[in-house]
Amino acid sequence: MPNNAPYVEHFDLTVVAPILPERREALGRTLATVREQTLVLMRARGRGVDPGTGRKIPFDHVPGLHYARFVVIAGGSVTATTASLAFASDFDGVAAAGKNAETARRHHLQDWLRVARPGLDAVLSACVGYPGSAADDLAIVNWMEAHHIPAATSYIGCRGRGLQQIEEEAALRQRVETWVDAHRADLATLPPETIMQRLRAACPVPTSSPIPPRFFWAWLGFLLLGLLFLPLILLFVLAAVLFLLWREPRDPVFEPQYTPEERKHIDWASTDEDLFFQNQLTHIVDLKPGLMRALLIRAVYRLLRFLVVVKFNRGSLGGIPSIHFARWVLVNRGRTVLFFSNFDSSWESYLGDFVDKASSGLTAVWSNTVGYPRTRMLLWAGSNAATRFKAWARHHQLPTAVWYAALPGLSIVNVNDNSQLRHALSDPTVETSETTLRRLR
Amino acid sequence: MPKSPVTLPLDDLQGLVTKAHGRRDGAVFFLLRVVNAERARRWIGRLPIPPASLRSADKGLDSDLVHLAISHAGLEALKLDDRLLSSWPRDFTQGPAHPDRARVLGDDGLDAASQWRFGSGECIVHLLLIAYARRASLPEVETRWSTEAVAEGCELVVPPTQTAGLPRSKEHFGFRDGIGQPLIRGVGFEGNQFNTVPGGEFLLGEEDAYGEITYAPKAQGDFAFGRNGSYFVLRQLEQDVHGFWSFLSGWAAKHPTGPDPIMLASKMVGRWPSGAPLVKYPEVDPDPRDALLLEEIHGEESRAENRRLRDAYRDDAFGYGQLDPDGLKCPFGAHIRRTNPRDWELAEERDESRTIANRHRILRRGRSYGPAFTETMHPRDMIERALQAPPDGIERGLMFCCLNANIERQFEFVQQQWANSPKFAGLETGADPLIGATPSADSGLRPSTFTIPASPTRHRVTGLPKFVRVRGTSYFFLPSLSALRWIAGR
Repeated sequence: MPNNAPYVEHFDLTVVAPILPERREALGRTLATVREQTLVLMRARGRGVDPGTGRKIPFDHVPGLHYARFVVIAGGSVTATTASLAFASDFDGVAAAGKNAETARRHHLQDWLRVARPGLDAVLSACVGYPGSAADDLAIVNWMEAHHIPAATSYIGCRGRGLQQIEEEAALRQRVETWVDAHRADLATLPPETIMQRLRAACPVPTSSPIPPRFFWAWLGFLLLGLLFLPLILLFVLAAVLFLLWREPRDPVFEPQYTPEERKHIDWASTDEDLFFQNQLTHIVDLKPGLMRALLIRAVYRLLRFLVVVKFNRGSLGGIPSIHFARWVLVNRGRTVLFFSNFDSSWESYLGDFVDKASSGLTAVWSNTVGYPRTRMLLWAGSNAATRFKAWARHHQLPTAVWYAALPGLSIVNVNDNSQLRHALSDPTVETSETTLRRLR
Repeated sequence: MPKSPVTLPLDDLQGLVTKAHGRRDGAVFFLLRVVNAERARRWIGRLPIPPASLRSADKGLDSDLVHLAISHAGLEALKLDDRLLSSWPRDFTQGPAHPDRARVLGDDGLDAASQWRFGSGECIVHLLLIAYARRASLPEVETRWSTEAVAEGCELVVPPTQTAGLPRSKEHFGFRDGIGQPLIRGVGFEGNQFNTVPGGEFLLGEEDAYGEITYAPKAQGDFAFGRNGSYFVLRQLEQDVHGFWSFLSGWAAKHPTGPDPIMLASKMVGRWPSGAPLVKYPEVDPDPRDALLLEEIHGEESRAENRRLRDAYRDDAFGYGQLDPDGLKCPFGAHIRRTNPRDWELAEERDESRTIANRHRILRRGRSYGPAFTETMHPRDMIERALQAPPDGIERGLMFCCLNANIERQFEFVQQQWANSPKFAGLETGADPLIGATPSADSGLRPSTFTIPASPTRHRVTGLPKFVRVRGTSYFFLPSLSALRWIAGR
């Protein structure tokens, strides 16, 4: 366990580039190989055995890499005629980069090239304009930077904690639980404080307090900014209300399809679901036409960008307690919403949570997209139409050609609970001994 | 139970939707394959299936009752039209042996579909016929219906399974079963508001818990085939009763400061052997017939008091949010707490949690098979037998049956999300100690444990063996009576 756990900033990479039509098939084969190798890698890591070598892309060698994926954006409900490749990752920023996303990203890209240059060449050379295997690393980094699309909003469930810290805290949890198993009989009559003293002696933890602070100043700043632009905001809200009153009842709505074609699409889109405890989703859908929808969704993203930092920063997004990293990216010159999510447990439960808990926030995003179930005033209804909403979500899902998760057996609740446990072990003033002892599972 | 208006078309529903036929303490399960579609279709139309409206169905106990359900493969084998065959949801069309469904259900290793007696490969089932009768007449019932099914264009996939109720409505581990069932709104009587769910949760074409109409497939000519029908899941679960009680006794012997074996078993179930819920009766089983300290309770109380205590299992209008937020009475990982979390865990507000929980309910219609482990089914006797005699090699188990209107959202969700998930309620490695799947080593999950919150800190059972093994699963559709007549007319 290192001396301290610095607050780690997380960043995302989303490289989207068109695929050369003549390379499409070969790309499919390369990705199929990478997928096979990555499943072997993740299973070996799950079992805690050496994954061996010889992988085209050794994801596990990229420092601070939480999640990565390759997606071919074509087929399904995608309307664009040219296929694109998306390469995405969620990673820990290096300390030197601070909050500077570009510096962190360039550093991250250098890491990728250091450990996986030939593999990345093999995949990305299928893209239009890729500098190729003869080019130097800087040319590749510049090409990827040029094709990176910043996320409209990204949500992070483990704010402030790097991959290494998450792994160490999971190991700490196991040490603590095992120690209690072994000593439970001797603890039966001891007061909680004494038990905690013994536990601290048995499982020493240096100080840390990476639980994200509440951002009072950010709230204040946001409010002040809001006041400053109040007339403009009010005008926009008024326009939006009038627009929605007129438009919402008239927008076409997706009808669930119980057909062999749709079942085949879902089989295809849900490839590799439920292989691990964690799952992932790639979802792509066009914005509804018109300027107002484009403005509305951007306004919603702006608000969400603020909320994910100041409010939804403790492992729950609007009541959904199962998302590790998720992000929305506007692609296709801002006309299409691409959504990536890395979440706990099943698709059915994840989408069910959208229906049961986070209706309004997420409805606000997706109600601006084609076919979304009928909403009221952007925020209400919509995903409440559970069957229709789930059928719509499946209809716009794409298979993820390759998915890598560093720790696919941990839930985000576990991650955050482990941090609390470590915090309480390192500092007796954080909470009462009873509370800490109740954290043991 | 308070009366309420009948809003569902009871005369079109198979009676099994509203009744478990509990007064017929035996049943025979026939798993059939259709070999002559035309004969089988005619036969289906002639079966004496009681409608839900027939109040006297439970009275003439000398006659047997039958119910019939059809799998997707069965609809194909009956040569029904293409429109009908192609318009079912993906879960039912695929069936439980499909790899996608198997991953959802966690059926792996010994539970894998390739190991099943029925429901996969060569042993795909087309029709499920259940005949309910008194246990004394089971051999005769079995012969009669087997002969008839074979004569009417069907063959048996596996030998029929006879089931007979155990003493005091217990299942094989020694716990009262069948408690805490949801009630359907619109059948003439209701339970408390938290336990009464809309008809669409169990019947196609009715309004469900979201206020949507449950999708019902149609056949050619726009016939609403699915209407008033329900999906019927059959899952044969073998129970290792000897292993269960010997493991728990062994654990208790090694952990003298922990719970005794009966308390430990009850913590795993969430109820005492009598069915009394732990949240309401945390210290001791209130039913004198199951209490460990028999003499302390028996005889000292009045007769009325004894009756109240015996019926403590009926005390089902409870929640966890207020009574037991820390799981000190009923552990978070207990079977009944996770298969219906009620007012707790699913949302911050208790009522909201209940609303969400009620979107994942199932109606259970299971029956136990195999002889009782001991005559009394008293846990004390069961422990004694487990410790003194080796396993008798006789198979015991449950023909688990449930009805629901959306397999993915109800049965599969409960199995995957609540029973199998080791992360339920913030746990880390805590799958359901009874029916939870063993996590595969590949998935990055560590072996299952069972945690009992306690003061000053939890007990934890590690090295939990599997006590329940899946021997077969099939997804059926339980058609309405009009749909059965429609089949006969094809």
